[in-house]
Amino acid sequence: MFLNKYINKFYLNLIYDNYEEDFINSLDEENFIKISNLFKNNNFYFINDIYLNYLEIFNLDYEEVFNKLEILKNKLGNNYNYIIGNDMRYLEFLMN
Amino acid sequence: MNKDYSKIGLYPHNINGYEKVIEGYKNNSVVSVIRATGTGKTYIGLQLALDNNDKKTMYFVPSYAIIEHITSTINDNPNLDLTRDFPNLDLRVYQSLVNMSYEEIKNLDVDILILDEFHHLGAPVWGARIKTLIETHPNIKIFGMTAYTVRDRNTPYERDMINPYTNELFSNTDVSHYDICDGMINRVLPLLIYRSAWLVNELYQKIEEEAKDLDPTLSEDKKLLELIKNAKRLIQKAPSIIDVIKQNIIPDGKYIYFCPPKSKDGKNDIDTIMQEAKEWFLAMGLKEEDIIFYKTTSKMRKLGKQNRDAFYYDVDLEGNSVSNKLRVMFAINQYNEGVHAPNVNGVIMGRYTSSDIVYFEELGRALSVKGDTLKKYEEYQKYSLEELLDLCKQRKIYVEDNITKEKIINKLLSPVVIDLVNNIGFIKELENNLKDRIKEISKKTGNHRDNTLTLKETYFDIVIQNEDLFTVLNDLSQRLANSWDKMYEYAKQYYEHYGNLEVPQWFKTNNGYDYDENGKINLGAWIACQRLRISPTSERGQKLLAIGMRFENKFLTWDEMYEYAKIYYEHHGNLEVPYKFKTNNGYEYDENGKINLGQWINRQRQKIDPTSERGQKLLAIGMRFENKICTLTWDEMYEYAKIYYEKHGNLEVPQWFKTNNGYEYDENGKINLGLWIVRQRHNVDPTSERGQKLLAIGMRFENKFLTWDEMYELAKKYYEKHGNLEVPHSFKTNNGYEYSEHGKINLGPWVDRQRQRVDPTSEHGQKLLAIGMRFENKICTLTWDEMYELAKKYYEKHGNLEVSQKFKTNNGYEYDENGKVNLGQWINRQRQRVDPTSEHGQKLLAIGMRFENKFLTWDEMYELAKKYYEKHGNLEVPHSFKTNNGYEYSEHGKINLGFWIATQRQSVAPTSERGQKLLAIGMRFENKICTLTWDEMYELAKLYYEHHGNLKVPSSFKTNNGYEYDENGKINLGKWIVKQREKVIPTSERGQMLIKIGMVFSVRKNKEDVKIFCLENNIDLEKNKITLNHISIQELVAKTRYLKEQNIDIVDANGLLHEIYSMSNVNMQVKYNISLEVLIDKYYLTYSRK
Repeated sequence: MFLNKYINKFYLNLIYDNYEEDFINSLDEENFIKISNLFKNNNFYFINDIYLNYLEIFNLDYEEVFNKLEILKNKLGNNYNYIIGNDMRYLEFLMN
Repeated sequence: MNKDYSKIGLYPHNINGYEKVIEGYKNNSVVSVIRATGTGKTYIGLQLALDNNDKKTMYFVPSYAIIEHITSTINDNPNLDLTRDFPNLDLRVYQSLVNMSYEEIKNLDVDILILDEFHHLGAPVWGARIKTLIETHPNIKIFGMTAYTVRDRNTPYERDMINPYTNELFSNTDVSHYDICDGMINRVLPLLIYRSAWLVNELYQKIEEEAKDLDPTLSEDKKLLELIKNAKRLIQKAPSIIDVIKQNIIPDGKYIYFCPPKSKDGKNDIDTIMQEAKEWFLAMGLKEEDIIFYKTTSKMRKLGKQNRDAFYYDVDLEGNSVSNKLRVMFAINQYNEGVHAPNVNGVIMGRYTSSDIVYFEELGRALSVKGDTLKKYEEYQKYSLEELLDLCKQRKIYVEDNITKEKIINKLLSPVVIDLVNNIGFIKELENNLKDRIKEISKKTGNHRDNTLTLKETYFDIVIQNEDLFTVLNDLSQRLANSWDKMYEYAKQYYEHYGNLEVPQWFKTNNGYDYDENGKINLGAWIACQRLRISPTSERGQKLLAIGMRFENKFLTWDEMYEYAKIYYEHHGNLEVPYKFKTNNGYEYDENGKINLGQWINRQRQKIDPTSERGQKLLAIGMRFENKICTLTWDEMYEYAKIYYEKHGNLEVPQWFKTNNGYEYDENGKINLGLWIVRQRHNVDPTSERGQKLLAIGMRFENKFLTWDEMYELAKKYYEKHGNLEVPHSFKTNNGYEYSEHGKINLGPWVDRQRQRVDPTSEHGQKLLAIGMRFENKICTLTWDEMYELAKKYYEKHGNLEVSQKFKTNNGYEYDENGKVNLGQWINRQRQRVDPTSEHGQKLLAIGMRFENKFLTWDEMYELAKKYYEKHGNLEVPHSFKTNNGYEYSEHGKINLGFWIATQRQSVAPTSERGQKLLAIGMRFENKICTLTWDEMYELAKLYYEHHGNLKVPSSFKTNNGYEYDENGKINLGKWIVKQREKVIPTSERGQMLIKIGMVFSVRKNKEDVKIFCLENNIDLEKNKITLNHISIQELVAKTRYLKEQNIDIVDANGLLHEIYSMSNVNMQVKYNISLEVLIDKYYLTYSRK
């Protein structure tokens, strides 16, 4: 599985403990990278936590995630990444 | 039946309290009262002991001084006798239990336990011993009294000893509450005369000390230095402590001076303070023999008691009466708690404290008047106004003109508090509380406090000398606190916490690393500012580099880079800097170095003329220009060009082409032939000898950069042909007057540029005017500030700066078709070019500038897409394609054209008008995923299932038939499955249909475990659905165990999980100083192993 290329062992173990393997295997690497980069480019300094708790997001359509993230950023203001880092439940918005 | 409390002399407000205590014991064995200092709570304890004098009563207090005070209270009361009336009373200090064993405590004979100042039970050992005493005496009755329930306020150890939620001994046990405000309202306690003299000198000295770090060459620092100078002038005129003393100390008064607990620099120990104070009192005109000083410290033991006794009875240490002299007791802690001296005229606060407990204890010494305030008040009420004024005169009490009788009485009753250490915040708070309480009572909202409203005047007589000056100094101090070194310390804190200095610009903080919306320190802005202002080679730059500063975004000047080069030379003796050499200090290679010195040197070698000033400077530090392309003569270079031509048949040499032999590219080639050719194209006149020689070997001069005069000649030709100089912007030509699609000369943009840049009065301007130039729409004739003023007018009129790009105006706010000022264009340029953090950016932001990506209309976006199509011949715009002009990618482009195209592909119907317009410029609608209905997609999913035996479709799976992957497949079955998993409820009809063909809706393991764990730990599943849907069981368990161990509630009063459960690891580390890794290891894995 490609995840081990991008995620450290500690988080990887937790992810495998948290998600069905079929689901992990269904992830598309290209999409995963695109969405990861989207978060990274938007200064999400806690990308590992997003992998761990919101891995479903990386299976979503990039455009949709991009679009919703823009809305979320607008809603939360300039320090959106800090706010989300403090309460990751905001990420649920990307999945709705 | 009314009980007689006269034996103890219980005050009326305490009778009420005591009766509530008795009432409380009907249902509970633990009862407590909260009583302000000076309102006589000791009497309640004694009343209880007296009423139960047949029982063993153990009365605990924090200090022996309080035991002294209680015994004196009994002994001074003619109705009481300690042995007779309190045969079973055992007065003890809490400390007496510390060295007792469990058995010894268990064996103590006690029926009633009185715990005075019970907030001290928060002290771990005292608390534990009392707990043991209670546990080993199950039938004991407990009575607690205190003035303050909170211990260690404003510290991490703060603990409210009656907190109803933390199961303290006295939680939910207080039956009567009587604070300072209650006392004042009932006239049990007097109001206050409060005099404070801000210690401006001390503060100023501190400021002066800090100002040494300021750099007068920096404008901000210079301003501060100017302010400090002004402040010094004001201080010289300000009243001093002696002035305050003279005005407020009565020559035969009685005062307590609270000294600081620790001497600072060995200077303000109690003896030095006494010496200093003596100077003040002598300055009042008193003789030395009229001043009686007392002293008490914890080390003085018996001598301290002698001093306290003497002060109490207004005698000197020899027993002579001194009641007609000035008496001042110098104390540290001895009078803080429970120890009183009668008839004190006031206190002098010489001890700064951030503790409200200490402050009000000290204040309480002034307020404590043994209950005769009301009596005196009633007596004074009988006086006429004139008699009261006379009394004031006798007592040297200043009264202002037209003062009311009520105010005079208050002045006569009020003790004076002279605050020398700026504890003013507390008194203001008290005054406000009092006002609020009066309002509360006036509204008859009622509460359980024991009071009735007799107080008319709620204002304290507060005079604060030098308050304004102090405010000025305080402001200065604050600004200095944010001075460079201080800010650097905050930055360091940030670096130490996060390992870098990538501080977001919006980041505010109070400690350097925690973000605080209301933080006083704007660290992000400061870092950004340093990046722009500080030279990395300067001392400050080096300090910042040491904590991870990144200066790359800063545009280093030539001189700054030269300084680095110089440092390199000084260390290495030459300037042979490897091309890839990166550094932070100029001489050491650093893989992550911020400064590409190697590249810079290389550029200088290529660009700088050795004979120029810069060239000379570089030569002075060892620059070698030999490999520079100009070391070869023109003829030598021509020979190389000729070789190229002979080999390649043309002279189309790429600009980057380096070579050693003239025709082969060599990455390390010494001869930059490409660059030379480009230069010749620009510099050589084709008709010259050199030009002719070059033409002979295939030189193309068409794209030559024409001189201004050459362009002017072409413009002139245009004018001669067309009679004007209204050259369209896109006009290309070869001869100046005819349009040619492939014309080499962009005459249109050149004319536009002249219109913008050339001053009509200049020589060029005059020449252009002569051939019909129109300068009117020139947008740059106005300075930036002038344009800004017009923009401001627009903002003031329209409330925003959403100026259409075509907006022309003459006054800034009204559109005028023939307006001379292209405000719209200007605004747009500012949006594109100005850094929002710069001074201009900030000014624009202040008038509503929006720097984010402009929201373009569909038509505007379409035009950009069209440009893309025209340039690229298709509309296959990458999703991440950002641009400013439609066809060129720009990393920081403002327009997300890629995203827009993708959105159009999904949302626009190809048959619609827009769809047709898009098709006309090459739009491809085929991959649109939603064209098939749900049932159609389901059929394809079913086919997949029938072929694969499951529905484990990878999310990238594209197909045309449902079961075979096709890279160019039109149907994104994978994505469709993902969507179904997200959106379809498993129990719905569609959900059931999908389950039939192998759909697995749950992507998570351990869901059941999470549920069970929540049930076991009373976590509401519904309320915490989002968190619980995402958290792993390991994380949930570990965090719960951690919180429990820290005695932190896992859910709040609303049943919502503690914030830690939905926090990212980084935020959690910052706030709680623990990482997820540690949590899992310590609270999950280690537990599991155990």
